[in-house]
Amino acid sequence: MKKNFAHTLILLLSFLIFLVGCEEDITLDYAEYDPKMVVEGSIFSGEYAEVILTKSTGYFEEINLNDSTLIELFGIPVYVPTYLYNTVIFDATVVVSEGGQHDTLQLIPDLNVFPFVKYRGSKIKGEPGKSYDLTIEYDNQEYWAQTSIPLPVPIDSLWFEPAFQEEDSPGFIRGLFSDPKGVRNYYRIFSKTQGRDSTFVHPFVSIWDDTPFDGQDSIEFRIFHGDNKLEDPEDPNRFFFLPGEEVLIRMCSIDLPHYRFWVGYQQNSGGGGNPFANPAPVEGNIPNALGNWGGYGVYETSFFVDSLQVDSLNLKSP
Amino acid sequence: MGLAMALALLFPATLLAQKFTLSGYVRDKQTGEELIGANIYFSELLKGTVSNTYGFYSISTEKGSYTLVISYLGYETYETRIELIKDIRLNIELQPSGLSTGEVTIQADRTDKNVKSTETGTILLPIKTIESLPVLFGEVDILKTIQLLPGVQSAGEGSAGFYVRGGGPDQNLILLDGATVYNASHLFGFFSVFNSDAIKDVKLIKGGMPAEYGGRLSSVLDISMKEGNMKEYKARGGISLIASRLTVEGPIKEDTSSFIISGRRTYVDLLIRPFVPDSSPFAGSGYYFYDLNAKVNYRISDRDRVFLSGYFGRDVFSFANAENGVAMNIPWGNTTASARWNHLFSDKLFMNTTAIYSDYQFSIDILQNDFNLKLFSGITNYTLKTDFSYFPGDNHKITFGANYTRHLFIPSSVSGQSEEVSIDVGDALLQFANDYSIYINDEFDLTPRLRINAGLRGTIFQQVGPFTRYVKNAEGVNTDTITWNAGDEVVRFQNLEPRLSMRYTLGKSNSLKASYTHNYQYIHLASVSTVLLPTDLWIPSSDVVFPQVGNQYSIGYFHNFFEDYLETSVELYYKTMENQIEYRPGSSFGLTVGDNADNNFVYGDGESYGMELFVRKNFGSITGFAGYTLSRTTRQFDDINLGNPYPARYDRRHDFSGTLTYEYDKWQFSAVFVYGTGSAFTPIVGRYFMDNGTIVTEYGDFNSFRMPHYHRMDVSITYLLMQKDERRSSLNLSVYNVYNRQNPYFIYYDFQGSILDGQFATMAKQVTIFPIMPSIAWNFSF
Repeated sequence: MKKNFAHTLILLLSFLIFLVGCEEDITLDYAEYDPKMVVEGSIFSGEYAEVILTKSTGYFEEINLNDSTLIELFGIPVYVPTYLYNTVIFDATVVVSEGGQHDTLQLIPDLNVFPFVKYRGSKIKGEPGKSYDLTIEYDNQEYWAQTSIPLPVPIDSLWFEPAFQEEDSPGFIRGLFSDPKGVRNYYRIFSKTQGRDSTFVHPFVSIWDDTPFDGQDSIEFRIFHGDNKLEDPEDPNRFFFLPGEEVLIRMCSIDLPHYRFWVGYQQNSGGGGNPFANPAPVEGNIPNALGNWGGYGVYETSFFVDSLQVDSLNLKSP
Repeated sequence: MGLAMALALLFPATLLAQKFTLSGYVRDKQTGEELIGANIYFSELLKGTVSNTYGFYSISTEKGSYTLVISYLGYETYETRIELIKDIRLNIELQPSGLSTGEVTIQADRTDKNVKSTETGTILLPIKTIESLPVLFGEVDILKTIQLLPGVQSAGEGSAGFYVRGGGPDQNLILLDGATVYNASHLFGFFSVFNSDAIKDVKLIKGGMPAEYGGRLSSVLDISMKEGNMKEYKARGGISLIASRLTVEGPIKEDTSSFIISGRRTYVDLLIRPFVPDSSPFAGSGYYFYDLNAKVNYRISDRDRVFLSGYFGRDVFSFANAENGVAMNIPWGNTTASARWNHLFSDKLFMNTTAIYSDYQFSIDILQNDFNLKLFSGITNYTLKTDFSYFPGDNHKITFGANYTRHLFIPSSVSGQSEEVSIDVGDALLQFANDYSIYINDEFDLTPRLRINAGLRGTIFQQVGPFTRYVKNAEGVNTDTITWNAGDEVVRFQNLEPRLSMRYTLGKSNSLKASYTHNYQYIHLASVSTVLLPTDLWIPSSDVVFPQVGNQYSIGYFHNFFEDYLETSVELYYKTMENQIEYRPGSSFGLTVGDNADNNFVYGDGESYGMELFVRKNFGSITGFAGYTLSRTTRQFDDINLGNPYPARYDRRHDFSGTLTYEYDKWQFSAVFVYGTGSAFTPIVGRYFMDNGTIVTEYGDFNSFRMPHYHRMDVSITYLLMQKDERRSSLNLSVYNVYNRQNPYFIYYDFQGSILDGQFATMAKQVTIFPIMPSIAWNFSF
């Protein structure tokens, strides 16, 4: 319905422009673009830090995924679209530090995650309540950011809710948790379905803050299956969980700058080029670079999707 | 403070000498229309006053014999001897100076009002000036002329929206015979709703707003409708490319009662219809707008007069597409009505009481197959106000009054119906408010050179139930609802608004002026896009939206040259604005089902400062004015641009407008040139991949990029076909954008290809609305 309304107006304006107006291609003088480093860095409690480094490209640069380059990735020959290959940073020095300890991250392959390589630590594992510095040296420039891992908050219960009134209907998972009183909490949720996801994925709306319910018990939330790029985009069930599936659920506590980043990211994915929409810039925590360095305090539990356990009163303990 | 001082200074003076009062109305000799802002003074004393909005004046001084001079732009100056040995009532009728006779009576047109008054940032535009300028599609437009003044910027190509000294378009109080007009434009702002044939006078106050005006931060545009000819029946009108106008006026009873009725309708839809065959799927699509102004007045006695005036206008856009079974009807427009009563208690105390109704509505009616959806938004006001003017004497004027307004806001309501489903979320979203204000304003000479205008306005704004507040979490899910019953107070704001302006006379033809105003504004216009649309929402202050607060300081130097031949001024201003609203970044307009419209905003402050130069030549065969503004307008919102200040969308570093009119025999030539720094917008500069292949758009700094500069020249030629007594007919040829400049209306991004196919390109496109646009119009009056 939202769409209808917007369309109507654009239609109205188009009608006008059709009457008298004209349009022409123009070159905006910011079209000369200087690529920036894009950091996708995370440190989950209990795990080593992982950082993916790429470069942004100019908005008016053509994307061509059909021209490929053959590269050798850790001994494995791979065809990678030249456009994407050019955006990957292979030779940065990435260091995570905490309390005087330093962990230099190593570049390793990961065919489950674009762009198939990532930097991973081997000394420092994330711990709730601590802060972590990220230092990156690349192309004679140094980048620095800091994040913290807030204390995780447990999920009290989870249950399955079918989306349709039919046998073995796909559906989503609902849950309850108790928000700690007196502290600002920001949450981000992930899931990983056995046999379906090779990595944790997040639903489209994956974050929330506790402003409306600070300190309350029995806060209800809902998880859809996340956007897994490897799945068929036409599959009507790709955003649902299916009966019989075993799902790992991660509810993570994040700090405010980290939360803000994902708010911006979420808003950004809607817009782009619509002259009638408000710009939605994504604000990260790394000066002079795009992306974000974020810590997660993880509460993880597994859940078996059982279509018989549909009664929301018949709670299933994690 | 100013008032107390004024009273202390006033009383001894009043007790010393015996004074008498000269008062009355100033009118047009031919039509009987009251003249607003005429200069009335005793030439020996260099003491004077100006007639008020109803043409009334009152001047008191020591007994004696004086030369009374009354002058008004466009009229022969009237001079007479007055023996002021008692209170005198004198109604004066001024003779209009000959139009287009080639000879202009120099004496008649001169005015030094700009130098003598305490008003800063105030410009009076005679309708004659407005009518002489080139037009778009042959339609004379008051708001477009206003935009040519220094400190006033157009909201965009062809737009009737305007920004005054860095304030938003919602910060202008637009009054038509005292009634607030909420959306003063037709056709997305390409035309203003004011039909110039029915308009008598236009006054713009952009700084130093007197206390009688309130509720807006930036400016007052006070438009008075004509009263109707008291002497004889008259008609005037015109036929242009897209519209026709007709105005009829005349006495109901000579010199006692008169009427005026004026209508206008566009006929683009009728012109297009033959080209859209009935068999076309789009048959039934079209657009038109119309206006109707009407006014009657009755002089009950010399002390009492009543007026009834009204405006009704609608834009109607209809769209049909038979192929997918859609029919849409989108009407929007304003309705205003005012009933006023002028009463003279004595020759020193004048009262005006007005009851006002004002309404703006926007709706969309969509019929798709058997589903009918109706969207509706609007604002309705009922106002009762009374204003007094008291003239104690010696250039002293006190005005005071009170105002009550009942507001009803419909931020956005939806109702839908099909065979199975029916939805209606309407009533829960309505917002009701009471708005009370009282004011007092005192204008007096502190010393012969220093004139003070001090005022104080007290306002109370109260949001009342029934009202439902939806409390939401970050996911946008309702977590709580709070309900107030009818009449319950949701929130109340009360504030004092001091106003001060002063003039210091340096010499016979130059003066210095300064002013300070502190204003509150309890309503906000939420505009999501870079162009003003009729869907922009009026939002009242509420439990979550706080009132806008404005402070403005300005100083000016006014100098007239060659015995008032040339008026010039330099003004500097500094303005701050608090509690400005913007839609949350990334939001797009939508419906508010189970939500409050004001849940989607972020709040911040604005600042603007600038310098304005103005030169005007009002008489001679060549007339015109030119204005240049150098200004900077920034905004700071915690939730936008990382909390750093950024240029406002309408920040315009340089803004120049010039007009020139040359009259020769039966010809009148005129030209307008405008130049402005391009509007600020937030560019999209890059893109990157993250979150496993999701494309993220990288924006540049907020409003960091400028569209190409805006400039344009319009010219027009008017030829007087016939003039006999008061019967006239003329032909006007106008060319808008004469050198066909491709000015940007907006910039958007267009895509080619698709990521899934592996090839994808983006380009920027600029949309220009008006290329060179010639038009012809025929105007007549008899």
